[in-house]
Amino acid sequence: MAKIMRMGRAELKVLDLEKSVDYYTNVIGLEETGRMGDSVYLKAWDEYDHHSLILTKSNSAGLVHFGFKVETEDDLAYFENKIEEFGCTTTRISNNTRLGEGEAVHFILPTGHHCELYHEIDFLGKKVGHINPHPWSLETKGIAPHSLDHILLTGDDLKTVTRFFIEALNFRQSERITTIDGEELLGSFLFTSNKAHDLAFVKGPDAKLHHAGFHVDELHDVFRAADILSMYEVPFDVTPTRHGLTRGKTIYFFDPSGNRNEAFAGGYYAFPDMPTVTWTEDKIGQGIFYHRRELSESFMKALT
Amino acid sequence: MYKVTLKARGQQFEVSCPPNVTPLRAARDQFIPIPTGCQQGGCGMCKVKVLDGEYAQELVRSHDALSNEELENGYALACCMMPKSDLEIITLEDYEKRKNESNPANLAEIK
Repeated sequence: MAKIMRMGRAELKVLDLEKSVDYYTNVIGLEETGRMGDSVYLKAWDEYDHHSLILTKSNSAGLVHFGFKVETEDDLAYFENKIEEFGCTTTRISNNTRLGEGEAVHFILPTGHHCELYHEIDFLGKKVGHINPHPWSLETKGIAPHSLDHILLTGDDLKTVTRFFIEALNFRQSERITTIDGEELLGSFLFTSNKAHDLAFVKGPDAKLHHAGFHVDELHDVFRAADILSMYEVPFDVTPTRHGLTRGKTIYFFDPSGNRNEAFAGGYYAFPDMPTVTWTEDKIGQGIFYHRRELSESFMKALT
Repeated sequence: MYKVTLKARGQQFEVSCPPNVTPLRAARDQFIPIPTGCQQGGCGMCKVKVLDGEYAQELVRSHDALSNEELENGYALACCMMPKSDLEIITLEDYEKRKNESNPANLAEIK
């Protein structure tokens, strides 16, 4: 069956390109892999492909687009049809529109976000190689996450966007937040890999970014990330804690343009036969911040 | 040290603000509940209307958070502005509320 493997890339708008590159290379610890026009391309040390993050200079912050990698070229055509059948318009983005990328299928989600599917992207490999590799590289800087992990977006019609990912793109829903009566969907966590979420939505204004999450191994790495962020005086949103949803260990902070980042560890393995876990609105504080058990204004309202 | 009068959450606060500190930082340091987001000029949560006083606004900021038009009309981002005199500022939320309350059409409806 056609398969979307993972969230492969996200393109963020940044206000000051060089300041942002400095932050994403030295504080987050990604590696710059190329430049084209007003964009800088970056990858995490444990990723094989040319880039997972693109920073593009703009006069506002937020998400330009994000993309999922499919397993084969045939899958690209398959999902292109499925998306059209669902009622979304697709366009083909030609080869080398961006650095290192092959053709992509572009479409706009019911929540207004620009999304792409792609298969072809240049292979750069990992610093540790893939023959008798060491477990990690001595050359990394900063937080040095393994990879881009997921993004969380806001939107109004979460039921339709959830149905889109399930029906057109073969995703599953791992968790959801509903009103107490179960009528309204306030949060929707979706996966296509075996992670507790590859993509999530919470109720809010359309076309906005809540955060981009990077994968680190353990609670210790989340805590170490917090230390590094304090050394660089990066503004925090939320200091280390646990999520009820996904059970992940987490820390939230802001990039120099105000885009929220997360260092995320753990969470369970998700499989297609799991039931969707439901959190009701009255327990949302515990669902989001398991220890604090109440939401914060900045976390709920600061969006880019 | 400048005196910043901040109207927020339906209340009025007085904040002592050194010239090299943002009103947002000064307010938070004095436990005053100013709406706070990214603190990088990106999200616009700390947008205020400056009712009185001189200030310098950092111009590298998201134009979604603070447009050129807003900038010209005396709006500012409390996270990335510096006072140049005593200031009187009001959060966007309180300012909108105040505008609605002083709108005669709305007053008529309340009757």
